Amino acid sequence: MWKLYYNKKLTIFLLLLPLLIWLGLVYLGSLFTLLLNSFYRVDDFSGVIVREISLSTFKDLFGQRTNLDIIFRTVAMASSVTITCILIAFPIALFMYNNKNQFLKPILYLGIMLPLWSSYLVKVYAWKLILAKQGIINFFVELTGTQVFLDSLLSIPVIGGTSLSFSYMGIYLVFVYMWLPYMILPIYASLQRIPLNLILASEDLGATPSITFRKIIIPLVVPGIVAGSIFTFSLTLGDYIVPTIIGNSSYFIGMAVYTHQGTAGNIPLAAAFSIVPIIIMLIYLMLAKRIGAFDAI
Amino acid sequence: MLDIEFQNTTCKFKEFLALDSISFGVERGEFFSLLGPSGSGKTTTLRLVAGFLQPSSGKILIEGKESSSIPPFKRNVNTVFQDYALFPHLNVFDNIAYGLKIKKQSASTIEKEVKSALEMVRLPDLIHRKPSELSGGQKQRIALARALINKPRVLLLDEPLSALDLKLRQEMQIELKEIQRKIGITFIFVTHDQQEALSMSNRIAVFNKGKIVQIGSPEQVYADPTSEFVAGFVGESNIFDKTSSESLFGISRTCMIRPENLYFKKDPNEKYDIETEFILKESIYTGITIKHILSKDNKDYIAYSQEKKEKGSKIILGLYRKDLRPLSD
Repeated sequence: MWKLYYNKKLTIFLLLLPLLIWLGLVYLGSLFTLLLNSFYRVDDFSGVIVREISLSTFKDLFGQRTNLDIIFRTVAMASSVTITCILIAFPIALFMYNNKNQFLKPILYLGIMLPLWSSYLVKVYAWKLILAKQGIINFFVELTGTQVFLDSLLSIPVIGGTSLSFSYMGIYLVFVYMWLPYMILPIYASLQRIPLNLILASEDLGATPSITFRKIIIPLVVPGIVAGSIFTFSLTLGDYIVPTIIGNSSYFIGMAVYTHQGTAGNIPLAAAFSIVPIIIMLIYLMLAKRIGAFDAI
Repeated sequence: MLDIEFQNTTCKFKEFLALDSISFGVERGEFFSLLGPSGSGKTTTLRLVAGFLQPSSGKILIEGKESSSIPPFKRNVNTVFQDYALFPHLNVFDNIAYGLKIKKQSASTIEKEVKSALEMVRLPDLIHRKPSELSGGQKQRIALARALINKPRVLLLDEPLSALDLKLRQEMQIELKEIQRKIGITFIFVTHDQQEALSMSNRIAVFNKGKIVQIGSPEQVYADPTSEFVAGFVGESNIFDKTSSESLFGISRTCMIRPENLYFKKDPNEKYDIETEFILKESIYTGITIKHILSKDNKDYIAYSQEKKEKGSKIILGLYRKDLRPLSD
């Protein structure tokens, strides 16, 4: 009986159906709605959303200096955060990979995972306290009498500010702290995936450890770095809490989206803003593919 | 001239004794096989030669020089790995050229050498392919070319054929042997396949539990095994324990005889040194011949013949004393 009604393709289809509904309707559907909204526009006088397909919202987005500044500022922040994360995460991942100490291993893991388990807001506010004028950093600066250095650091144009918690430098520090685990873990994973025999083979063929590192280990870790940078880059692109709490009230894309869909009531512009990170990420992935970042996967 | 020499070399991993004071030498230009079950120390021996491991005590001489402390990248030996260990991010050309590029050879030299290495392993022009786009046999050849292009004094092969299917493996056995003869360098070949070792080697070292139990030519190892382990591991064998040997042959030691030296007595006029009766348990058709499992005193023995025999029948087998091998325990 069972065999009579059994149809392999139908079974697979039915099993996949809930997933397809979720992915198709809820996930892709909302993305599509977002895209569609970005082609609507807000009537300048009445403030009513005009549901007609046009590029006028995008013209607004890219035509106004302030909007372009927001995009540029966000991309610059995301890039510098990503690069810094790579530079810090790589040695940490390498250390974890080389670590043979069984006692240290769980401590390293925990040290990286633990911040991910605690609340996002708590971490940001904690950092605000660390960076604030009467905060922990200032306390130590006063203790050691290095006020001059901090002041000269803060007096650097653009990235400086009245205090660390009201500057791009502060936002940058907090972003780097927040996303660092997302960079360490993929790099560590890709290091672990390198078969030991490849390293032995390289040495066997006459490569010193430093040549092996450059010619074998680094290229094979690139997919991990790309994976990590997708996290750090896109998380920074979309974040609006850190710049709101730490920053000097200059806008980032996330804040712009938040304001336009909320108080300003300009949903089309908010939608257009949120398309920007998606496009940037697509370009980034295409570039990564072109340089062969995924060849070794 | 010895290319490789081990002198009382011991290798320990924590408490585990992987190699227990072994000594042997490999002649220049020899095809030398390390044969043994897994965990017997043969791969450890190879890794010691490559420099991936350090001996706990004893010496390793490469071309007469004590080499235990020389790092792998300074040794004039190259390895073909069991899993080939091709670099996945490099294409075939860059994989093969890897060693020469490190030695900073000119581009034209590299190109010429890669070409001749590819010819040597009889591979068509695949230089732009990535390893993931190659078949197992092709990977095997690339790994061989990548090692040989460096013109090592000694080539180390770590079960290089074990991942290939039977037909390809047999082809590669012949080809490897040909390449070795042509370029005349020393090959040290690790295998657990006794057939492979017998058919390819000049000499075989049989490993068991971290020790070399016998070294000799394939003929010696097969015809004159010195221990029960070698007799059982290399080829098929019939072992008669002390009591059976005593009663049958009058020798108070464990004795071995190869199945092909046990003859079915067809004619009462045939004369053998010793004749004895067995019960036929099973006949297995293998293509070339029929393999018979025979029992006597609840122990099983093997003999070959061309004719089928009836199960359960009584069979008289004859043998000559010269084929009997008393074994040490």
